[in-house]
Amino acid sequence: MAHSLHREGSVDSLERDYCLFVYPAGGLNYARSAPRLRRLLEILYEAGPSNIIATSLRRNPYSGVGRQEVLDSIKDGTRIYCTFNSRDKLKEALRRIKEADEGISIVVSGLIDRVREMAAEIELKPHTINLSLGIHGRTDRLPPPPEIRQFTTMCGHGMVSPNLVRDVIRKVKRGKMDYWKGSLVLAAPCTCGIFNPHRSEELLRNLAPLYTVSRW
Amino acid sequence: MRKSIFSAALVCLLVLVISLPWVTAARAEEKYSSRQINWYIHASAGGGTDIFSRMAVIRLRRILKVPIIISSIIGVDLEDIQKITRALARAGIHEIEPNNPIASMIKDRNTGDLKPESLGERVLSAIIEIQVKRDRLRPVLRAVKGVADKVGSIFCLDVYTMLEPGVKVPQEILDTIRAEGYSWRPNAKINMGLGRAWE
Repeated sequence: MAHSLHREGSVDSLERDYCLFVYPAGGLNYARSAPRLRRLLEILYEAGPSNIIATSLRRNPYSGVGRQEVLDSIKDGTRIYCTFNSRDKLKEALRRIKEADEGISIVVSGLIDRVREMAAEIELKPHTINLSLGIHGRTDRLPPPPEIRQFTTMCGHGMVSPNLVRDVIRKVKRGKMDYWKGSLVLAAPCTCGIFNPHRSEELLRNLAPLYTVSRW
Repeated sequence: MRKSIFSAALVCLLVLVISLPWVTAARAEEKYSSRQINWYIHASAGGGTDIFSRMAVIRLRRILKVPIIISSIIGVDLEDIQKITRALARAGIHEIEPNNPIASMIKDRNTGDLKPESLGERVLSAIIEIQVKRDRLRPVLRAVKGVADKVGSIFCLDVYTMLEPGVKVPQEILDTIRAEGYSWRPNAKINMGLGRAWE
């Protein structure tokens, strides 16, 4: 699955945006995986993710769902998707996952150089990479970069509408919504759990002064 | 099994033709919802998705008090998929992953033609997965580039490959990508090598 692969934005912004996926695989380690997945989920919670969902529940922490409810929902084969807003948090999560040695596939999506550094520091041996060669075809129909797509591409399924982004920017600009609340509004439609509201808050702070509102 | 797949497959590609849920023409400068809403669906008129949408919109119009127009726009026409499968077939690429749903729609692997009953249908998104040896990456990339401006939707192109020690992407892969006029993003998905099989 490549839905986290096309996150756009500056390298500086992507420095604070990493996704981590826990993927049990059918026919390989799907059966009897539930207890292992629960332990991995606990590790991820302890590391302080910006967003996290389990596919058994599909509700992110900002929807009001509690940690125990998510843990209780875990079944064999549940996948866990999460984002971190710092390299250090991700590194700590990976270090503890390595120690736990649950045998479930872990995929990290982020800047290649940073992942390379982390792998060396905690002595992991990544074996496969998925490179994005970009978006092609009718790119004229995409929203304009970079101000909108850096938000919308944070949800891999394109569930964050560019019009919602514009609406939130406008509300923030007018003082009707603060940056964090605006970020949570943007994170709400994302059911894949990889929309990073901390990055979104930062992007809103950077963008709001530059955005022109035609009617107050 | 996973190990044998990895050793056999040096380069794999994903051509993800995705829908355009973020493509709308509306501006955001007005209070929601003060204007007509365009409700885009990926399915053809008369199908279940279309009927459901029309039923939902009847009630929604009363609540939001604005016109809501249903259009079958989002998604990709399978004829667009056929353009890509044909271009790949012309380039001698027939290694579409057999477990990929697209593979079951292909009528003739030599020409890349889809089954006639598939044409005219729309899907929300589709993935074409191809697994080739490294030396055949070049014709795949070239074929995809050649057909890109003929596809009526957008698509993402990914390459995945085994890493060399030290999280190094094989230079041969990078050289090929560059030579065919593509570039790669600084962020990527990386399997950290922590999984193992017990089934």
